[in-house]
Amino acid sequence: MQISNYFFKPTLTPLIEKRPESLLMGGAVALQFGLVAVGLPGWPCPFKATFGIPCPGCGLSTAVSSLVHGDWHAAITTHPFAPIFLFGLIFVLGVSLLPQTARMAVLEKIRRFEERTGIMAILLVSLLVYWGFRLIWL
Amino acid sequence: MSIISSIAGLVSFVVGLVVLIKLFQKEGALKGILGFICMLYTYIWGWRNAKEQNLTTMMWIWTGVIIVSAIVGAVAGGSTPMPTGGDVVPTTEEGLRIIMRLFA
Repeated sequence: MQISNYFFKPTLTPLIEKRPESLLMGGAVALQFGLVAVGLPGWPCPFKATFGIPCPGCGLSTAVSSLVHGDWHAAITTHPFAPIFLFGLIFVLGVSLLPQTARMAVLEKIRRFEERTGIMAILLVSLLVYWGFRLIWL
Repeated sequence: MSIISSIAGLVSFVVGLVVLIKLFQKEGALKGILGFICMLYTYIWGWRNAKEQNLTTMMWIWTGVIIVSAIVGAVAGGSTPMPTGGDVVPTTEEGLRIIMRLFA
């Protein structure tokens, strides 16, 4: 398989295709954000616990919590991808709750958008690049 | 407490890595990266494919370790958020107070 096939292969659509799965994922992530927002222990990052260095997603819960509290500066300085993740979470939960016909129509649009732009691949690779910068310079 | 926390973290990492490798193999690079960034996704994927991928024991171990970590974390003083520009994330005591107020 060519690398371009990987790049433009839909990644988000299969995740939210099945309603129970997307609700479970969205609910679990929302619960994690909620726990951190009220200062309770959330999901412990196994990568950070083992190596003492943050994984690419470390700080996202805290950053989203800051965002929900209206502190944009703290959110962006903690993890610049927080607004994208919060939007993604609201979007996934929103799409999961749509009636079946509307949901299928939206899913088809997302699939086509992903195949055309490779947006998920761009986001994931950007996140890895940001992680590299964070490890070296921050 | 820190020794228990370290052991739990190490076991969680090893089990998580095994599940992540299976995720990479079955679902491809992009979902694998997503699983690395968001281990919560790896965990849910692991449970959903536990029988098919022979991961049931691994997933039970991972679940047990997460529960131990959460208990140790709660006893030792709650979450350790990343440093932020402002003090917007409440402490465990404040968090518990917020929850108590919700149920009062």
